[in-house]
Amino acid sequence: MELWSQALLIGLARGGIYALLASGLTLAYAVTKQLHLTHGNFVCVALYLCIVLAGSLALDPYISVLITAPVLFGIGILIYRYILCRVMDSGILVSFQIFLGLIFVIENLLLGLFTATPRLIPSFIVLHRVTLGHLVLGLPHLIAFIAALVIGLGFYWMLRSTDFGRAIRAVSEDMETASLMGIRVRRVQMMVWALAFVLIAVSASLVAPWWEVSPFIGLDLTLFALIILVIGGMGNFVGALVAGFAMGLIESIAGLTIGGTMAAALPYIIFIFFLFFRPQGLFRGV
Amino acid sequence: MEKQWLRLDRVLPIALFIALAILPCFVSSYWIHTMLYMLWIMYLCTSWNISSLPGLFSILPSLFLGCGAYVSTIMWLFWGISPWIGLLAGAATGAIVALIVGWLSFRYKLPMITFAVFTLIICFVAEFIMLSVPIMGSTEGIALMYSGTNPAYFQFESKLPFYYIIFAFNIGALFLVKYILNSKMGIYFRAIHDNERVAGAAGVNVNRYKIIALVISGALTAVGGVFWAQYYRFISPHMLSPHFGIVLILLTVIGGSRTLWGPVLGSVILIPLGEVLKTEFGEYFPGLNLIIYGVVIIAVLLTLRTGILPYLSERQQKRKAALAATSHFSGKG
Repeated sequence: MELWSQALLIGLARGGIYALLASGLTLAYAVTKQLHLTHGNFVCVALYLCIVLAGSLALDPYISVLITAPVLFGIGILIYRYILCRVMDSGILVSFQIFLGLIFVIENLLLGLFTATPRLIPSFIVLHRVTLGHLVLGLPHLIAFIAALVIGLGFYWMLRSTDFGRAIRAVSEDMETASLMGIRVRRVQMMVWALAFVLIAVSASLVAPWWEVSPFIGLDLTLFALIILVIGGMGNFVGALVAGFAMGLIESIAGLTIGGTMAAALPYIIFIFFLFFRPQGLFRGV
Repeated sequence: MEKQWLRLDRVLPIALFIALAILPCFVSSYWIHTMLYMLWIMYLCTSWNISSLPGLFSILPSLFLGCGAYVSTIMWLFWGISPWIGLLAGAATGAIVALIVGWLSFRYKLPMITFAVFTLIICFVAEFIMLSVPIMGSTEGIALMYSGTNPAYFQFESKLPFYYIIFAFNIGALFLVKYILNSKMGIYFRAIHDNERVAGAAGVNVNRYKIIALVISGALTAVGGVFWAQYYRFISPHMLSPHFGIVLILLTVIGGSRTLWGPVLGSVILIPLGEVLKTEFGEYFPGLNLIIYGVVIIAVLLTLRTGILPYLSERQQKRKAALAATSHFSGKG
């Protein structure tokens, strides 16, 4: 029972992180129609920033989000303005290839600066446990799950009921008409792109105490986010949230029941299944 | 002006290949290895290039490579079959894998980027599987046995025979690409790349030709895998990791995919540079060569929007058009 509840919580926490990453990716895709292939690599960048901050200023990863979030926001804007904006009209393949190149640059810069040793970032609450009756739950997992849920719902509210959210939905449905209606398409795209980077920083801080980081986990993370993107429906925000949580749960339950390589390969197998039997994903639209 | 370009276009590659044929007799073993590595990469890039002719963006090279290497090695270690036969079997396996992947994805009309992501994920799954199968060495990989020079079993003491074998492979692959580009199939490929729907409406069997391109590319890449297993005498599941495949794709794109000499240009410029950087700075800064590849592709695509060769030929065409327009104008005037 305790094993199960812990596995469920870990699954929900992982799922929450996947949901945050995938929803950032999906929003960026919806408004620019470009696939951000270095999404996971920037999680690594944010995590290593946390490591540096923990080493030099002894900052807790939960606090260092106050620094990493603005930094990644800036990186997002730079990447939009100086890379994406310039090649957006030349088709999706050009930006795809540029991001493939960027993967190598980021991975190997991190490798050169921090070596390949996997690391954990200490947090003062990492050893705390929450007891509910006779259930013992890890606090970082609980925080990650709740934070992901709150942020996800907050974004949903923003998309539904603010002007900015309506602008995002309009741009993702039809860029040209949106610009005719007086929406500044480029600005919306830039803000969404930067917001996706903020989500990256937030999820990095949430996973810092319980995920080992090495320079090469980036591509795996991107792939996970892409899988969730396809399963949830390309560009669908709610789909990404639902599929993210579901994927985290499936992964941890499979780890408990099947175990080993099969469990690790299960998300990919689910993805291939979806690709061939329901390629439009669970949900449609934005 | 026009004639000079034409000559440069023909003379440079021939000079390059003559140089590559003569040089290994004069340089040290280290340089032979570097040039051999470069030729191997060039061969793999050319093979990937074939799959890109109809506009496919597959990230499968590492999977095909693994197919070739594992099939020939396992046939040799378990049944003592010569790697030369394993070469054919590896190529056949690569072709079959390509057939399955292609049939699955084109039947369901996956969009280009979804296809790319799908192939990326297949590579990951294949690496997972190979890492966990103990007969095939799992994580430790397989070291190939070696018993002195034995041409019948694709084993040589010195590097030179390997060098000339991969040299010949390259020539063969380039002639194949040239043949394809000039044949009816090349025209179909170009039509599919330019506009799939129009090509289909004009009577080209789109799925069939896409699969053909993927199958040829798969078989050739698998042959490259067999070669590397015999030369390096060690294979591991990390060959299947998509990272290596992406390097090949980047090199091809820098030179210019869908052109005959693009893959050659990319690997001739960047592989020697990368290898030198690796030996000079590898201790302090591993992966510096990959950073350089990444920076170069970002710079090339940001400034030119395509690879180097397509950009040059496009500019050439524009200049020709401008020339024709002015002469037309002046003729009228």
